[in-house]
Amino acid sequence: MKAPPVILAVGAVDESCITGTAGVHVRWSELGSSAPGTGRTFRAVFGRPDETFRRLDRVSRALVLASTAAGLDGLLSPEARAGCALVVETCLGCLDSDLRFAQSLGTGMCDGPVFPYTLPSTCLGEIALRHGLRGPSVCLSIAPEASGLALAEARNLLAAGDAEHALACTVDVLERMAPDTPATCRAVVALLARARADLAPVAPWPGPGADPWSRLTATLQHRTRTT
Amino acid sequence: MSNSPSDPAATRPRVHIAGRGAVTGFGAGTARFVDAIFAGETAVLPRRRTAAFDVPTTVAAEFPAAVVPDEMPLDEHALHVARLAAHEALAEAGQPSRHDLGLVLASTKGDLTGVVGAGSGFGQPWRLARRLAASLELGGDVIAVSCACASGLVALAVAARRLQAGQCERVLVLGVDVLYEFVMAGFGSLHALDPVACRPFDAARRGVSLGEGAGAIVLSRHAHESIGVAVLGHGGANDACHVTGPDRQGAGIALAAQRALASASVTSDSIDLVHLHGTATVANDATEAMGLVGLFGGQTPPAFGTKAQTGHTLGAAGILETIATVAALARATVPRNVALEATDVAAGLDLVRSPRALSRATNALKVASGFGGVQAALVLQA
Repeated sequence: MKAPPVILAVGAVDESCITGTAGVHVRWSELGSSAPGTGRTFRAVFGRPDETFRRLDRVSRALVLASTAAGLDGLLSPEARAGCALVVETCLGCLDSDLRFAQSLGTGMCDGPVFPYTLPSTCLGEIALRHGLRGPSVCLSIAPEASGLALAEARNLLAAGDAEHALACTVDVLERMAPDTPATCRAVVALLARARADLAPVAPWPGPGADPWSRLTATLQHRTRTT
Repeated sequence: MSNSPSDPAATRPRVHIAGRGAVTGFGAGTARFVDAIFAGETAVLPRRRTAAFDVPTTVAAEFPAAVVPDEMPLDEHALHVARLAAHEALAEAGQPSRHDLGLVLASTKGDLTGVVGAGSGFGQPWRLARRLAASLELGGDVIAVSCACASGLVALAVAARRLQAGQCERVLVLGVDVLYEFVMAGFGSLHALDPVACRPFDAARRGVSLGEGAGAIVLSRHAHESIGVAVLGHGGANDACHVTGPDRQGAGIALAAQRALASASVTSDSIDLVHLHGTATVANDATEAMGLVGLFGGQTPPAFGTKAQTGHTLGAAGILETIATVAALARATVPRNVALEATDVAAGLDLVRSPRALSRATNALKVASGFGGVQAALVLQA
């Protein structure tokens, strides 16, 4: 097996905060809202507007906040971003939007703008268009025990020479209680590059084992405390 | 993207197609599907099972009742047709050992029960993948890809990378979607459904006709297991401009195709035929034509699409259309574009009007697009 990719940046959103290797660390309590925020959260955190953030579904909001907190626009040139692959994994998928859209059908008032967000690749598109990521794009629907599959697929993409960089992401956001799933909000993104001696990782490759994303975010919390 | 000997792409081992299975509106079986495509038949017919759905179209390409009996519970539909397609593909592949056989499932919504009606699919394809793997007693890794209408080609690329990396010997790649009112109404809400049967690339096109489908392909690292066609290259891209609409110049689909050609180490002039995405929306067909005509320098090879015959089978489309492309290579013939009369898309797209025999049928390009700006392409070689 070839050397693992280098992790260049990490960003995360959970029920307590938005944090990232770009130096962002904001608690939801400071924002006066809860994860994944309101239409105004992006400007409140990053000090600049995102004209369409308000219309995003909650899954896309969480991913956009995490990817921006990772600071990939400052790390990669536009040309590098144009070749960057994008791999998203999700267990819950779009259950919030699914239930909302199904409910609208039941009332006879089909909520058309929600429909695109019932497809998990839509949140991937929201990330791609914000950062200009035009590389191969993959959205994976994963069982809970398969957490980290996006990291493995991103590694395969890099190893195959299909991209120089890859943004691997996990996202699970659920507002309402579904029959067998608790309410939750977690989005983690990791910007990966093919291994090169001149690249400095912000976190070690998490390797195999349960929930590698937790090990990445633990690294992020450590950096936040020490910086 | 270069292909110098030091590039990983230049040293990729070949990935071979070892088996195929199909269940469509034409019924069960790859032979029935392929013969119907070449005969110019269509399965896009007045709605029967979905007749009660409150959606703005009169047609759909539904599974025949002989394949999915009316009394079958809704949460069994996708699993049932996926199993039929899988069994056919595994039989053609010579019944490979299942103890290490992996599964890559492609589906937009998998099984939507739990969101609509009783059941526990919850629109999360991994749940259907898990049920399918268990029922087929597959012992390898189980992966579910959900990239909207590009799911099938993305799944083939995911599987091919794993094979090329030596992570497995064979993978069953299976695309499946069945029709729910949820999905049909969703397309209707976007004004993307043609009220009557769809007309891809025709000047009068008004949108998609949806269909049900399951397609299965067994991919193998072993040349002696091949049916005679290999996945020579694959490429992906993102439009990065809009989540539901295409790039207005077709740049994304051209980029994916260009990357597939580079991955295959072939040039565009070695492509003998193209299988189009061709959804029949005004924007998709126009921009797909623009992108491909640009890629091929103003004139494409003979090109065809099959959604006027199968309907848009969403997560199954990429697999079923790859099977149709394999058949075109095998028969050295490009079938006609059904429902096409006068076109208004870029003139350099060589839309085949009647079955055309090819003097050379070695390499084919297959492309697909999906919500989220996802673009995917494959190069197949006979």
